[in-house]
Amino acid sequence: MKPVGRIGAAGLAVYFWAFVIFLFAPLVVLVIFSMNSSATPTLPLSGFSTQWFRQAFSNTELTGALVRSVAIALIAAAIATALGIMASLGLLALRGRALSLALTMLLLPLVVPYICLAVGLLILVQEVGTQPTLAAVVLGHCVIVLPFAILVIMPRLRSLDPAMNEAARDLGASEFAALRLITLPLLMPALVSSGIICFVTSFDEFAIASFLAPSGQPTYPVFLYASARTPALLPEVIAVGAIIIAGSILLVAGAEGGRRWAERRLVGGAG
Amino acid sequence: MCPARRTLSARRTLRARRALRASRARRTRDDHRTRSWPRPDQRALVLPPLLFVLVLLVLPVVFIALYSVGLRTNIPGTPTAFSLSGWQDFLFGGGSAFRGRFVYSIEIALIVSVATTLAAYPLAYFLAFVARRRRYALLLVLLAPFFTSYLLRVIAWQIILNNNGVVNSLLWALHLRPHGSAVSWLIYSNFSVALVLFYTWIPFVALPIFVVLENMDHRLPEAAADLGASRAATFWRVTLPLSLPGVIAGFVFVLIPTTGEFITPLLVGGPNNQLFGNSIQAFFGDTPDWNYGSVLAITLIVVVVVLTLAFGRFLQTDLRADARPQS
Amino acid sequence: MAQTTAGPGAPGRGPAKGQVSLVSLTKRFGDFTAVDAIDLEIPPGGFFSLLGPSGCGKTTTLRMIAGFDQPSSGQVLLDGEDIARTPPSRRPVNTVFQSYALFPHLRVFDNVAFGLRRAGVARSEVQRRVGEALDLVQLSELASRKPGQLSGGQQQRVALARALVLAPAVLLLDEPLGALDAKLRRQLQVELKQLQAQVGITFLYVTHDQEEALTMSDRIAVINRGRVEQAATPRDLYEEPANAFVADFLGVSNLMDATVIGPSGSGAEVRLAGNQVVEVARGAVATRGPAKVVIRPERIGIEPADSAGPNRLPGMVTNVVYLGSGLQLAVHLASGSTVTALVPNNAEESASTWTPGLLVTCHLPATALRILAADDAGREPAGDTAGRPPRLA
Repeated sequence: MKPVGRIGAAGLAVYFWAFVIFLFAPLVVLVIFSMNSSATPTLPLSGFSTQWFRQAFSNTELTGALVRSVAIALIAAAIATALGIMASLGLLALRGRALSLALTMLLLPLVVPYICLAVGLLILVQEVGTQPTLAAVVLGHCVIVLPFAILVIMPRLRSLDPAMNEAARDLGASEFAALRLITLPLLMPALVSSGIICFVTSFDEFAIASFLAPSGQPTYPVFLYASARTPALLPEVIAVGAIIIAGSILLVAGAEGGRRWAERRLVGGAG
Repeated sequence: MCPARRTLSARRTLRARRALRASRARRTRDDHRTRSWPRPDQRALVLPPLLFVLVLLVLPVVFIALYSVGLRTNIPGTPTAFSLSGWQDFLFGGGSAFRGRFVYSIEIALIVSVATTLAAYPLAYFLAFVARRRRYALLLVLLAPFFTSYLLRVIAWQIILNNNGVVNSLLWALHLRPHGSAVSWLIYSNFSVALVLFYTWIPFVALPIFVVLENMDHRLPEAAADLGASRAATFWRVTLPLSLPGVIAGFVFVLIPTTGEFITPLLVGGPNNQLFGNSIQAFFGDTPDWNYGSVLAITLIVVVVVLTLAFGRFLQTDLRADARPQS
Repeated sequence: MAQTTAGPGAPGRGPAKGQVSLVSLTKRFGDFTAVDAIDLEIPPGGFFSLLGPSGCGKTTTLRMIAGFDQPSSGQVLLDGEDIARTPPSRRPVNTVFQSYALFPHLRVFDNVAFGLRRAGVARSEVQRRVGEALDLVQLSELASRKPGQLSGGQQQRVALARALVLAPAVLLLDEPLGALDAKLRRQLQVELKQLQAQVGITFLYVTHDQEEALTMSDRIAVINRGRVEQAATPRDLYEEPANAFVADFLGVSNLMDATVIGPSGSGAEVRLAGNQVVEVARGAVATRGPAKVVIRPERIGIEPADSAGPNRLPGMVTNVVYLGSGLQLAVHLASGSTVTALVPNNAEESASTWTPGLLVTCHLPATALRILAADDAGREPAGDTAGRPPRLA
């Protein structure tokens, strides 16, 4: 007997798809209004227009914020991924109490609320004697996304046959060469995933950026928040938002497809 | 294999063997150096990331603690001395507004957590038991909105729920309400805050439930059915209890972050719907009082840590060495 | 054993022969001793096996020779020099791993070329030597495939080529045939043996399969609980086991409790359980008192029930197992113990002749029986009749 009868299955399916509609509805709303010619997002629609896109991308504050966020996200993702590789290698060699302790410490950022970390970093900046800078934002983001990097990289690392590293050294490679030539290439799918997750998380991060970004240099989320309260800027915000949302969805689909492609290509066919 | 090919490969093999013996004579590697080498301990690689977290997470939290007891201050010239006055005020004294907001935040968090968990269960069940072949693709569909910008999703809801937003203007266009009369509780209310939080976290809660249902031994419900149980009974007495770890995991996945939530109230919440995180934000932003804000921040951290410790078993990831695969 | 044209090795040290000596080699993990002060001489240029049950320490020993584990104490000597502290990348020793450990993202060619490139060998030389190595294992056509596209047997050959191309002094093989089906395994056993004879490199082979070890090896060291029970040629191990463990590990031993009561013409008089007295010509014939006696199944003569003569015991067949090449009979003796005997399969007669319930006489020839002294329980490797300390090969 199947776990769900036909009526039950149909009911669940309806429920599921209704929820999917519910989940995508706000995103669709944004996309629709991004092309709406009216300056206020309200019904009925007033007509098709691409003016908001043009206006948005000629708004230097907006584009500046976008560029800043992209740059910060790229750097934070790179640093966090590198640290994640190191942490995963180190954790793999640990056992028992030491392993639990190290793992707990490294995953701590997952537990601390972002608002608390943000104010903590603000205090730290003050105590160190400097001003809030974008570099501080980068470092703050690194800490936040490091656990994600570890959670993505470590299982992949663990699944590699440890004998491969031994074989590389047996054949004359130094520890570093074995890492560079064998381990890292085989980790590539996880490194890509880590990079993407870290990038996306950093790009969208608001709390730390709101406290640590200097006043004339907002990141995109900070700018977004300020604009959301300014009706005049709303259409541009929506326009860029639509692009970002479309881009995110494409990124998710592409990342999944790309990950599968990379795995297949890595080991070349059926094994 | 035809004779000619066989001879050819045999000759090549013979040549190869002779060549191998000869190449041993040409070996140039320095084979017998016996100096001991300092083997770089792989475990040391964990130190730089640990240091990173120590300086950029633990240290800030330590500072917050120090600020909360008056041992540090951001106002130059103010004397610093250990003082529990901030704590006393918040816990017992005049800080009733913040106590109230704390309780309110916990209430909202609990309501949202329960609602999302209940609503997500059928989604996970559908994926695990009905959508057998396409379940991972559909899971991705369910999770996709979660990967878009959080802020944008909240702004989208603001557009939908606003006084002249999608819902209201739709009601006006359909003549269900007089033009210009907005539904009051739609925005800047408990409803809007709870709804947006609910919306945000649903996909995330469905995931652990799905994982548990997916990994469950499917023969157990089958066995129950074999023994004569109806579908409903099988569900209530076999499937549901077995999936409880995933349900609790999902519940905790929502509860912990939601207690520290502050972005959603900023955009869709009214003055009476601000959460505890907003108070913290205010004390470090618009109305600075870093010491008092630190008291609130430490409170929030303690609550979250307690929740994590209490429910930590359900959040376990098998990253430890004993789960290492045997080759 | 094929002698090799030895390479020059380091200047002033003489030719590299590939002789391995383990001196009091010990490995402890916490309070568990995996390898317990092993002394072993592995002569150069032969096929040497480390044989023992799972967990006996043979793989740990191999890993210490390869360099992946550091000994707790003791020495690993290669051609006279202690390499125990040398990193594996610097040892003239290469390993074929149980899981092959091929690099899945590199083509077969690049897998085999890996070590050469690490050593800085010129590209044309790399090309030539990889070609030779692949010819050696008959995989030249598959050079541009990736390991994921090869069968188990082919992967194993790539692992071999990858190790051999570097012309090591010693080749270590850690149960490389375990993952293959029986027929392929047997075929590769023969090929490996031939390969070793042709290239003349010392092969050090770890296995738990006694049949495999007996088939391929020039010499075998039987290891149990971190110690060498006996090291000898396959024939000596099988025919003249030093103790009960070795006797029982290599094939069926028909181990029987006995009491040695006195000398006899060719050896000693031994009383078995059930008061049967037999003459035993081999083993520790000088001992007296409680001991154990072993005899191989194929040496037991099965005769009709009324057969008479010395060393003949009555019994009844309780079980018949058809092996194809012969029949394995379980014979319950009057003394109460059960022995396993092997009789050839004479096709038409066998099925009707050998049935459970048949009364027979077991002839245990004096020269086929062997006495193991009571303290040869398998814990300590004891001296055998030839007087050689059995640890050194």
